[in-house]
Amino acid sequence: MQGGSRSKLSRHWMSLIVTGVCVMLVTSPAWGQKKEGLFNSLQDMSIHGYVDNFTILRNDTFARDYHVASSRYRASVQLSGSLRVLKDYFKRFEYFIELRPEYESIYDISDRFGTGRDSDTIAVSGRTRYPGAGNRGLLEAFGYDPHQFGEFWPGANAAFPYNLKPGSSYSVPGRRRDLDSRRNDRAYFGLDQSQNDLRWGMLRDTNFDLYYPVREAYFDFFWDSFGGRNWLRIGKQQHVWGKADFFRLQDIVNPVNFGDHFFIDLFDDTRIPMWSALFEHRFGTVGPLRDVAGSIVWVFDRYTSLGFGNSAQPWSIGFGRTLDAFAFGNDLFGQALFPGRDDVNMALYKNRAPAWNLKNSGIGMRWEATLGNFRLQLTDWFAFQDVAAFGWDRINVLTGEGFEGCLADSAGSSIFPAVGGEGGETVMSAFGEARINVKPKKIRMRDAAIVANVPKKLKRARYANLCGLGGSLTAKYRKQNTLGLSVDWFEPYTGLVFRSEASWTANALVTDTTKSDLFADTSIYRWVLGIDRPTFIRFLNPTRSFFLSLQAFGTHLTDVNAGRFGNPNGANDNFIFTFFVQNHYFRDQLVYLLFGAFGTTGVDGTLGGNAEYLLTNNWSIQLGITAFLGSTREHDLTTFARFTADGRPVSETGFGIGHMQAGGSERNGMNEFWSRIRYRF
Amino acid sequence: MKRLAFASVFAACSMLLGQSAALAQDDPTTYTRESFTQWLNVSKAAKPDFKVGDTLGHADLEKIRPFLFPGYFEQYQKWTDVKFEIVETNHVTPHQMVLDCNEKFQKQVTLAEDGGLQNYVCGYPFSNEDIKEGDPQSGMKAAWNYDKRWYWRGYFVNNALTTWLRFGGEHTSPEPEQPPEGWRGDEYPIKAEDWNYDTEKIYGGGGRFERSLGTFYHRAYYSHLPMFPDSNYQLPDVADAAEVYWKEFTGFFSPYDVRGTAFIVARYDDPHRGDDGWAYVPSLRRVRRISAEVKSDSLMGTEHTLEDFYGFSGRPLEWNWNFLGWKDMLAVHIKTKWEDDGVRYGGPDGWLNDDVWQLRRMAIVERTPKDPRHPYSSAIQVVDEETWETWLHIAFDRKGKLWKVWQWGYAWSDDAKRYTDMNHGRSAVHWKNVDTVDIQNGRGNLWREYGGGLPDFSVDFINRLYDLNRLTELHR
Repeated sequence: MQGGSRSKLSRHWMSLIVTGVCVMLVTSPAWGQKKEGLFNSLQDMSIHGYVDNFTILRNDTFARDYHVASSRYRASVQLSGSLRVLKDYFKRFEYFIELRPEYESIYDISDRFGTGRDSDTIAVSGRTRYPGAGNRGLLEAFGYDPHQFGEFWPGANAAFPYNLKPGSSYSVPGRRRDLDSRRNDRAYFGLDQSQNDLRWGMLRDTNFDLYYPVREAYFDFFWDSFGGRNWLRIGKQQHVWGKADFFRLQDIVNPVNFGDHFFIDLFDDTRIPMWSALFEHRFGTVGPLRDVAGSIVWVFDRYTSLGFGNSAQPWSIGFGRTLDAFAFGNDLFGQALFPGRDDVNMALYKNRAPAWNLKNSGIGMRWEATLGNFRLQLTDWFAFQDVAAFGWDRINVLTGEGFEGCLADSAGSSIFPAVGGEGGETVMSAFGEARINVKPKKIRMRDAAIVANVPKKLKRARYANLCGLGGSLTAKYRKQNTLGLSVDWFEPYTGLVFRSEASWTANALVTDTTKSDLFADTSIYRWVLGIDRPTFIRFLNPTRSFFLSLQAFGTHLTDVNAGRFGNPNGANDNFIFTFFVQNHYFRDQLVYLLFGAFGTTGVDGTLGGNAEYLLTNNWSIQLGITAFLGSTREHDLTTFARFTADGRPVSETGFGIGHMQAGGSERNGMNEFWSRIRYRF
Repeated sequence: MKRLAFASVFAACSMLLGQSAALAQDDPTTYTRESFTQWLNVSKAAKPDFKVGDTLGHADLEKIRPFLFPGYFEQYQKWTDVKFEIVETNHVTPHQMVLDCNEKFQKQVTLAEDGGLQNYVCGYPFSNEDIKEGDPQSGMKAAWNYDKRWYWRGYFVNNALTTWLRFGGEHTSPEPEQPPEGWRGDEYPIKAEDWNYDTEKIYGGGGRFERSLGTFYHRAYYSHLPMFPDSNYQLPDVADAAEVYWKEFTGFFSPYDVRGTAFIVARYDDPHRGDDGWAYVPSLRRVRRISAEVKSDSLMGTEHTLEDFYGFSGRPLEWNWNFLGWKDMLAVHIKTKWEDDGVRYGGPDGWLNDDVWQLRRMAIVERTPKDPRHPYSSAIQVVDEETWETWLHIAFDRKGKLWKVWQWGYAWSDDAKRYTDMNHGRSAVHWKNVDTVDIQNGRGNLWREYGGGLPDFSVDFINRLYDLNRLTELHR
């Protein structure tokens, strides 16, 4: 069902909305009158929400290239209330609906985003650029308009073109492509979204293509049985677990859209609501435990990964552009390097995303209880990973003159399987003779003569770098289990609130460029320790305390190589430290906050802050600034090192979201001022 | 004779001069803690120059100066057509259960060396006769009597509507909204005839209103409850009733930016134990542990600190207490002429009481923070001897200058004309308004009750409301 029957479902939802709005218009709240029945209940509907404009003024290092990178109008209409029906069965029966239509005007006011640009001189926003001579020639040779392309990793060693034209199908006749149910080309989630989809926010990335503009819609049922109190929430909803800010250890039930405003916006706005059911049983007091509750969450929605953003969007992250470049490059490089062949793939050709069926749904449970001064939360989530792992189905290897060391070990024995089947075949490429479509694990890469003198740890990666000529790259997903435990407690003597969260993801499938097929299994351990304290700094504000919060976050990958070669996470042990300060002035009319993140692996950081002034109960204006500090990080490119400028096997890559680090590595050169004008009701 | 005539003329001139001086407006922004002492010394033994049935106007203001706190009195000088309608004192007696508790347990209650309460069971810890001027322990005794004041099983209000006020100008009256049905439950449904407010009349006078805030609030006492002798005066069938004194649920539902924010705070019976607090933050969608011990912080940007609730809702042992004596005060307290039982505002700044006034005997109690970094150097409350509730309350900044003035409004439950099902038969007071002004900055807050009382919620309701897991079900 992926990607299917969107227009039909949209019409269905639109009709529901129109009906809802009509109900709202013909009814008016009648305070104080508690009337029974469905229609009477709806008369007491609470209607709240906001209309706002959010604008980003982006620039490079606050010095040059100031340009508007987003100007989004958004409305949020939230309808809620009690339904006074089925009272024999339920103590309470309530509903909540959030409609959130939006319009991103940047595609109509700037030619940096969306369809592309007319002039060569207009830079693509952020750390991308207009295609250089090499890529431009390549694109033109294949009949593409270079103005519709950007080139990412511009400061690094490899500059791949990615398509900025929304709605691209990447269709090259005769190519082997992954097809969806409509028999259309499907590069990756959301890459074929039209400019209109981007303009109105009807995004596959956010699971908002089918039900737009219904962001959330659920019913709550409350009843007593089994010796306790029960709560069932069913519908499109967010499940929020854990106690950490910024980091998602237990808070993994719903994916997050990083292609909206990175992690600068609240997760509440960027978390992707999913069709799901939550059942919670509240036990009350059990022995020494108080306020005990156990809950089960079942997500039966279509699989949705983390949102990386469409390349044509202002806030697509590097990994999003990687996906686009590799999906596009599959056709381009395949055609270029293997002329006349329509079965040699050079990049991302298949997205093995879980199909939408019950077998692929996610399920988890949560236990919460208070023990003494400690509030505990134990969670377990079993579902498909929310970010794909990239690896080879088949690879192509140069075997001609000068590449003899790729074919045999030091003793002269072939390290390849026999030609045919998983052993592939020998053909001529633009770079000479090559063995194509070989199953990577069938090759004894570490024994290759060509890598005899490179450090042992890097042999496999170096083999691919030195001999590889691309291959069939796929995105794979695996069901994995994440066990989480968090606890908070208050220490009255110091006034500190401690928040601690830890998780263990078992058998995760990740990318590791030191593996022959780039896939690795690993356990991932994550932990967060946070400290909060409301603190008076009297000389700054004599009547209102500052909310101070510090966090330390660690990740440990057990079974992969991580670093410049290996997993793009950057290191087997990553540490990020954050701070957050919030204070109020003028009787809370002015609310301002500062935050920062610093990562040890990327040696990078993000600093930001914003101030919101509440003009009235309805109107507010908010101004913010975000600075991304640090430099790009280089990482092994696997076989794509063939296409680097200086022959080194590394470039700034984005084979995963690991390169986001603490923000600065991912987004340096994309500093911003932003504003939000909001009317609430 | 000539001397006598001269003296008479001098006296008359002095009176005239004095009168004209009094009619001129005093400037409370210059008042200090010393100003209060001077007022108290002059007015402590003052006898009223008015009687029941009198209606005093602006020209009569000097007659009431000895019976209102300095700083508060001066606000009425700005209100040229003010009317003080003097009525009979509404004498009340708490419920017989409380009197029984007093009779049975009061004699065993003592103060520990650090001021902590010992052997307290229920009722008022100390008799009023036991609280005497000059007695160094009486301040602490008054504090405990206040802390343990009779409040049935706790107070509940559908909407404590807060309005941010600035002196001068005009305003549009805010309209109270009802809280989400799921919060308030169905044990005390709101009757249409009760939820009927003429806000244009309620918010009279001037003053500029900047914002408003809809607040749902409930405090549930868990222990020292006279109505539960069979469960050791604790809320029956509640696991933590033995250790908890009370819990509060405070939820904000308007405007949108705070809608869905809710707090649960627990105060423990052990006076040395810090409060626990949790907050549901809609923008995080999480229940967050909070530090409930920074009580001098402003509450949602209002002029109140967290411990100014009810006049004082901090922990008594964190303050030094001084009993300044019993005194007759002119008050709007547990009696109103308005049919909705609530306050009506008047005056050029829109925050003064427009109601009937009584002379009531009250205790003047001063508290001084033990924390030298507290924004107040001291606060003085005047507490009614029958209800043990606050009428007026002032606070001084660290320089000793008068900073804030509060007027508190309380209703006698049995006199309620609305929401009778959660008021009649309680023989107790409940809050109906508190209005705070920052004298130094010419601004304040009006908090007014819409739909409140002293309900007999089932234990099941209380267990539901204060289950921390419940917070996770909230939404905007």
